[in-house]
Amino acid sequence: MSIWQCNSCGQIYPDAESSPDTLPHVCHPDVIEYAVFNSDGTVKTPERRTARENIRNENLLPSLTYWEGVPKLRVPDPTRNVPTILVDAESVIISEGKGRTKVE
Amino acid sequence: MATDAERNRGAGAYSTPGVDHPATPGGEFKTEGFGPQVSFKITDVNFPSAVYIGRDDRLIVEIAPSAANAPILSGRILRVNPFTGIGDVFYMFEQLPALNPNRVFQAFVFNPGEGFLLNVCLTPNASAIHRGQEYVAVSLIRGTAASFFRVATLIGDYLCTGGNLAWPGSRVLCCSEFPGNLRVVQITNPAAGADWVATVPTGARWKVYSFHALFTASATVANRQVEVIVDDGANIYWDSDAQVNITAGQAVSINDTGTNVPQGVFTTTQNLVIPPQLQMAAGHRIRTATAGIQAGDQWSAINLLVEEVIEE
Repeated sequence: MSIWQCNSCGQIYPDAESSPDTLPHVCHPDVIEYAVFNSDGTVKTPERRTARENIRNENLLPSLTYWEGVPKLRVPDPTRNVPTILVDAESVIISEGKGRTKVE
Repeated sequence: MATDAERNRGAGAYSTPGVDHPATPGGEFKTEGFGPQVSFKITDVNFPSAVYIGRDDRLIVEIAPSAANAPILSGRILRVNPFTGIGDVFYMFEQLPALNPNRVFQAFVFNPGEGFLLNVCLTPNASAIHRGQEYVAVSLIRGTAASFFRVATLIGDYLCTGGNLAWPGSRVLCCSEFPGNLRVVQITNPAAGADWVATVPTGARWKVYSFHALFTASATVANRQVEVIVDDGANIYWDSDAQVNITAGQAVSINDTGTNVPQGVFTTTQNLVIPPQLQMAAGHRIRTATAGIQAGDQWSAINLLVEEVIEE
């Protein structure tokens, strides 16, 4: 089983392919600037949350299918001769984000 | 007076003429121990099956699994024997390759030959396959691999250990029909100072019953307020918050279910609420947004109880 660190959010997680019970990694959508509190519990500096950019989402593409063991994407036929056609899949996950780094 | 020939017209000496059958003359041996015992009419015959596989037809097996398995496809076809020219029953037996348990539909095409399809059967080849983990559709198709036309759907249901699928006999269901596989989803701990998110994986539909998580506050003075948010990846459609602040140094069990639970005696247990019988499609998220979270705070032991089916 491989352990990875997401370059978009910093989370360390196991490879989803290691077990069907492991969920694919998806970055949390919030980037947090922490609030600062006074000793009496009152807020000195309020918390600030912004939307994370370049989210890494390792869930598989919804159009992905396997034909005789080979991953393909099922897309609408541009010629409209048939409803859909199969094309090669360059990437199989929803978004790469900033990539990931292998930890172990 | 009868002649010897007349007396032996039957099985032998003094056999009863006209009653005993004469011995077969030499050179006309008929075997009764090999070959098909039954022959069938192949012209002017009533249809033995509603499904006829033509020369350009194929059988396709489409499986979307969330568990490892290599199921077995078997069946019988009534077709013309190319060597004898008479109809006989051909037995089909195919061991599918090991499936990738990623909930993605995987297709395998078979050419059983021209004839009447008498029956099809699918058997799991692994133990502990629960309903909701492996959806199977068997169809008759015509066309190329890239684009085919579905002529008939024979089977559409979940394969599970102890529950083979067969045509005729099995149902044809949509894959998103419950009941599904009851399971506990363990969410990887986020980094310190971060909230967690659980995204329904591609190809799955969840019915969320509850979740439990542990929030350990650092020694930094702050009032933390846990909020649970459910959205479709962009649009929030449920938001619920805890009733009590979490202060420095506390380790609090956060529990969430579809019924409102009043705050109890234990100050280290907090209860929130999500919509009862909440169904979430692929890509939908359930997550926390802890107001006042500090850099040293840590979420851990995050477990969701869900019922899962395959969804295309």
